Amino acid sequence: MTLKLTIGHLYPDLLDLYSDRGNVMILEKRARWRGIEVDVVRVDAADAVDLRSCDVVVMGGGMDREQSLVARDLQVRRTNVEQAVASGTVVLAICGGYQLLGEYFETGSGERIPGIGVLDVYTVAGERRMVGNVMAECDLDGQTETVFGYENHSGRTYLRPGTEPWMRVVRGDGNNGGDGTEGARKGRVFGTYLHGPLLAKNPRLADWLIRLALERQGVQERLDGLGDRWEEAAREHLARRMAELDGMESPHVGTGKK
Amino acid sequence: MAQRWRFWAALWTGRAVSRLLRAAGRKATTLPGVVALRLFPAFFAAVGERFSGKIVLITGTNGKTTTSNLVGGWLRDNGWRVVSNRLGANLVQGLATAVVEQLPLTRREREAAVFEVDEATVEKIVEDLAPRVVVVTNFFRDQMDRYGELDRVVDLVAGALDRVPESCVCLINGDDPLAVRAAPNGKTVKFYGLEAPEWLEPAAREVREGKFCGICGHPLSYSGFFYGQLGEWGCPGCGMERPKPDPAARHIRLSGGGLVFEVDGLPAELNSPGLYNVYNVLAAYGAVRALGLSAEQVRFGMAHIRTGLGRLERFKVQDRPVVLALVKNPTGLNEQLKVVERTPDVTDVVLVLNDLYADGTDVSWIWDADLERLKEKGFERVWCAGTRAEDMAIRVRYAEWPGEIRVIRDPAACVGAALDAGRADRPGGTVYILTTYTSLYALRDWLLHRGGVEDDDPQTDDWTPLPGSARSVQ
Ligand SMILES: [Zn+2]
Repeated sequence: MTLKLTIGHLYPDLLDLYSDRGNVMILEKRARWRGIEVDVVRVDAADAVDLRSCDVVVMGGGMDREQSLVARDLQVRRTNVEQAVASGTVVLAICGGYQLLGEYFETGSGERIPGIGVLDVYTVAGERRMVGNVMAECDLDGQTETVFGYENHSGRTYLRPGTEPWMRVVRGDGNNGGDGTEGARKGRVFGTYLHGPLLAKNPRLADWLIRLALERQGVQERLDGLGDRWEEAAREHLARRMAELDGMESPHVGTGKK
Repeated sequence: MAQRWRFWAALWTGRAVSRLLRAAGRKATTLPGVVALRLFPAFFAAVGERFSGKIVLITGTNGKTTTSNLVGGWLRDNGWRVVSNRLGANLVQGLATAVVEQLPLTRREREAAVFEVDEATVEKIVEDLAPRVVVVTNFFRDQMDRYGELDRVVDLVAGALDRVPESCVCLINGDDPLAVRAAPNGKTVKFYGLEAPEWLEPAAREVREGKFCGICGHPLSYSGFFYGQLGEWGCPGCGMERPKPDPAARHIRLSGGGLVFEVDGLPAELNSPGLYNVYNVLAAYGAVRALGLSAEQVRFGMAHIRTGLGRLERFKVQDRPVVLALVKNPTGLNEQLKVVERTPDVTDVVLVLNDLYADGTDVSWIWDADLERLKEKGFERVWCAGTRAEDMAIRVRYAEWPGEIRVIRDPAACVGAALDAGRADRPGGTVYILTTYTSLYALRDWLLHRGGVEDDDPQTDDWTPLPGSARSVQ
């Protein structure tokens, strides 16, 4: 029997600000390279798609204008998202998408844009932009996995008591630059600020999400290794480079010097 | 009078700083300007007065350098003296440094200042400089680590255009709905663009910006795309549509590895096949016309356009053709990959990805670029270099490039290895180098040292980053 994975790409047009569509590509190819059939379903605003048909749903971040359009459309999907999650669908939301899965986003003027509350977090607009490479740690099947990504956000996200952060920040700001947490998870719903795209340099995390999505079909699949040598080299190099970069970032442009 | 004295005092002090830096073997792209501005805060107002309006500012995401090189080159061809910033030093300090180093003592009728200006910097200087022309090339995602989102960048430029003087012409890329969004009300605005239906692609395979109308928010509709979000667009919601282009480029076709086309009935010829350069030519043409040059005065220049300084610059190293191009954002990379596709006999492509501040510290943009194009073009190897070489290798891997990927961190060593590798099987084959900003000049020096530019074209020489820009000071 051939396995089949259905990936829902939520608002590919509205939430395409960063490279997060890469996560869809990475999940798709890593599954295909192992002989798993993949169907990628685009879900644009107002599209009537039952998210219960998706094993995994991925969403990115967008510009303010676009994000408020998404906020409205998501309200309509709220029940469907909850149903999908109850049916075992894995949800991965990055940055703006993560904020919208929370309770609300409070703008600088105090206006509250409602999210859909599938994660018990809320976000408040901040002055300082938190920008740069991030190193964090999360738990994968009882093992600590180091995760590399890039954050670029001014919103500060806070977790309600009892809500699990997805990761702990080693370097970088994470959710709010204060409590050392990064992202949030609730069952099979994952939110994070990490771009990169997230799954590019974290192949074990990608495979773990694929396994989680397959579990929904009752399949306990052991995924074969893919020989991720560039990924391993990139991780090792970035860990060293982050230490180096600390002393190197300068606000000057155009010296032409190497 | 006292003001004028203070201006020159600031300028001479800055110039002394510049000499000291150069004597110490340092590059002086910002410090002399910092010094001059500190001594005389009204520096730019004095510059604006000196040029009495004969100032061209060029802003936008891509094409700033090429456009300002073209404007400067055509003006000089016609005996104008030109002050311009080079090496991409396009923030306030960089502009001031260019003036400090190049401004001649005596005033002349035919002199101009041509500046490429960072999108966030235009608003800071536009009132003081009181330019005759402001060019807005296009808006693409770029440097989000510095500016946040693209809408904000468009707003910044729109805010600047609202404050240009009466006499100023805003020259805006009309094929880009985002650039059109920056057009001011109640000012002189001209929209340049392509009249080239045969170049329209039916669907954009690339990530594109500005999918929604700037006025009513409705999704834009397109009869076709030239590249990125540039194309023949219209809004079904409010009826806003692409303005009729003036100046327009017509009859564009590939010819001998480059492009030939017409602007206002003038024949134009480019030595590279990048469609985006046609826009740069249009913008430059519009700008020099607004400064008072006649069509006849640019006829010769238009017929011999050579791109240089990392904008698809051609070299010959050990008898192998090598092409060097700067890439800094997804749209730019996509356009360069199309150029690679249009070039016969390519053996190796070298991708250099750095993450220093001037490159942008966020390298995730490569996932928005259409590297899948690589596999449609038959060549031997992809090489990845730079501080984030592995990130590029991962991207190429997911593009399912079927050939070999090799990673050598040091850019020059990587190019050297690519040259050697191709020599055995196809000695005449071209090596393409696409690099982010901070390796551009080092690679260029390396290539010049190992070989040379492909043909001794006077215009290419003119664009060499001469220390102190001796040519323009004269
Ligand atoms: Zn409209």
